[in-house]
Amino acid sequence: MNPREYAINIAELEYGHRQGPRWRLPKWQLAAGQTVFLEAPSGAGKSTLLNLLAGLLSPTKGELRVLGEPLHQRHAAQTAPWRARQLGIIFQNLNVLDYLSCLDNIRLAAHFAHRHEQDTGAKAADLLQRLNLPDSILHTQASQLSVGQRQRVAIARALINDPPLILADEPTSALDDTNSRDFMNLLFDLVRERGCTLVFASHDRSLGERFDQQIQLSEVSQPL
Amino acid sequence: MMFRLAWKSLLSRRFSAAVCIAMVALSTLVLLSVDTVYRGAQSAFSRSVQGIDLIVGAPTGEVNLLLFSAFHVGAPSRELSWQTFQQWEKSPGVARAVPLMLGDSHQGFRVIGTNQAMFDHLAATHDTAVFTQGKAFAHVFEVTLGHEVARTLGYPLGKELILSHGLGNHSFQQHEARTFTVTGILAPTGTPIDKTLQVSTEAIEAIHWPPARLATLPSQPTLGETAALQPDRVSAFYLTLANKVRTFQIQRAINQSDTEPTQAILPGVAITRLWGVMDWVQMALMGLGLLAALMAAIGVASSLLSHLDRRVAEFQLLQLLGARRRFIYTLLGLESGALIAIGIIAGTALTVLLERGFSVIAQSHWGLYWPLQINGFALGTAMLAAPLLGGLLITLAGAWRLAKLP
Repeated sequence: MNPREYAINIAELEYGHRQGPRWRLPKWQLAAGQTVFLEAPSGAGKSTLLNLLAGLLSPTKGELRVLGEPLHQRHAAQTAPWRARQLGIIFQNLNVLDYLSCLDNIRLAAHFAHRHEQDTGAKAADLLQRLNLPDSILHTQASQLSVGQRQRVAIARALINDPPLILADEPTSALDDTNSRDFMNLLFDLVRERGCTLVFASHDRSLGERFDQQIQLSEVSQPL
Repeated sequence: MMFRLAWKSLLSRRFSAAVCIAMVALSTLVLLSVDTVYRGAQSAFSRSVQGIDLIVGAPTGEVNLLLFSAFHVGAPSRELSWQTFQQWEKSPGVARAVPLMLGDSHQGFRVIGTNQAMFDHLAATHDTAVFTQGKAFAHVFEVTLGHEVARTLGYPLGKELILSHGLGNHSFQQHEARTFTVTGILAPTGTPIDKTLQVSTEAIEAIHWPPARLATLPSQPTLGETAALQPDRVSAFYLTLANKVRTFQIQRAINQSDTEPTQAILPGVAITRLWGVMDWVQMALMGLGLLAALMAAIGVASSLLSHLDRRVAEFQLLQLLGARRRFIYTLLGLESGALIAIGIIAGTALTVLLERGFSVIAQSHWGLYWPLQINGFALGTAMLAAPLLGGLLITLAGAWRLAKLP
């Protein structure tokens, strides 16, 4: 396979400071369009890996290509425009800014990716409909939403720019079982529909069944 | 999008934002009004000698001569002869000479012995009519009242009063042989003249005559009627020149006069010297004002900084969404800049309102003309320094905080 076709291509990746903890990932390749479940107990370097994949951290050593972008050659501060266009990111919590409306939250992502505002409104409405959220929620201030609703708005926000890669970090940990199941169903429907690559990190093994790959982070990486 | 974000973010913490604005507004108010009050006082001082080119008296200190002649503070140590006054009054180049005979009082208010030239001087230097009621004295035993005197003592036109010898409130020696009739009440001028009574020079001469001689005078002689009433001394006099260019020339001529030792001073210069002595007051006031501004800046910074800590997650999210750091710094700068700008505008508006209100009160109560002049320099300093300082602090703190984010 041509290395450019990998969504993620990692070789001899090292990260860490001389004094602090250091961490190494010898090899990991992920084909585009795959969904992968990254199982990692806390402290296994999960956040570090996700921050590296998002371009928020620069590797100390080795090669890191995400969607063909050689992140090991980039400074973390320069990756913002790339991140805005190429990645959809869903977090554990604080996915939305409380003081903005849902629409403004979604627009924010489009703004950083330099998308036109007119398209965004209609697209956001479509997405929210797919996510079983009523139209009226578009103009509701985010602080008034339930946790489940917020995470669904986060999906809409992550997908608004049609990114090829979605990074999700424990997005269901704040949700109850029903909400969590709904969230996973909706996320998978939309990801499959669009053919996105999905990297989903969680400590909850029960969520992992439907993914194309399941990876134990501690098996592929090692602390130095 | 950024303005929307900044606006919504400020709106979401409107209480602390309002406190910030109030802090900046109050410090702007202090900074501006300290300065305006000082300048108002300074300008009131300058108005007191408006239209006077030279003040002439017996040799004494420059400031002393200014104080007793123009501000009626202190007393002359020596006097000049009436001939000297007449010599300069008639001198070519002198447009107006106002004689001043000081040393008597009424109920603690000073009495000035002068002539029609004083009223001409007032008419020339003030836009309003000289008298609110009545007219100038035409007879020896007539008196006109400064605005403040009439207001405080409540004297109407036609009121009869007696003058006291000396300047104390409770003088032992009254000039009770003759009473004076009030013929006019002066309009407020905002100068020390408001606190004086004016009589003719002849009147001052007359009341110092021995009672027996005074008794020989008719009950109400017309001014200029009795040659014997022409005084032989004068405390000081004001000169207004026809041509200001000759001021220094005439000053030198007076100072070198060989008939008797005479001193002429330029009142503007003397006032500048007086303010020079008072320099520390301005320094202290400005220092206080700046301190207030600094406190506001620190207050704003501390309130924004405490928010900054709580907003780390927000910045993290913005960064994840692909916001450049520059965007976040600008956002912070915009927010703090908006707070400070609104605060300064509110503070300036408040200052203008307060001063307008104050000047109306001052004008009607004390006849004090309080020029409304906001110091462009102080305002400029406040406007530039505060946001710059605040913005810099915030951005530095923001940069420091963001640098710790992954």
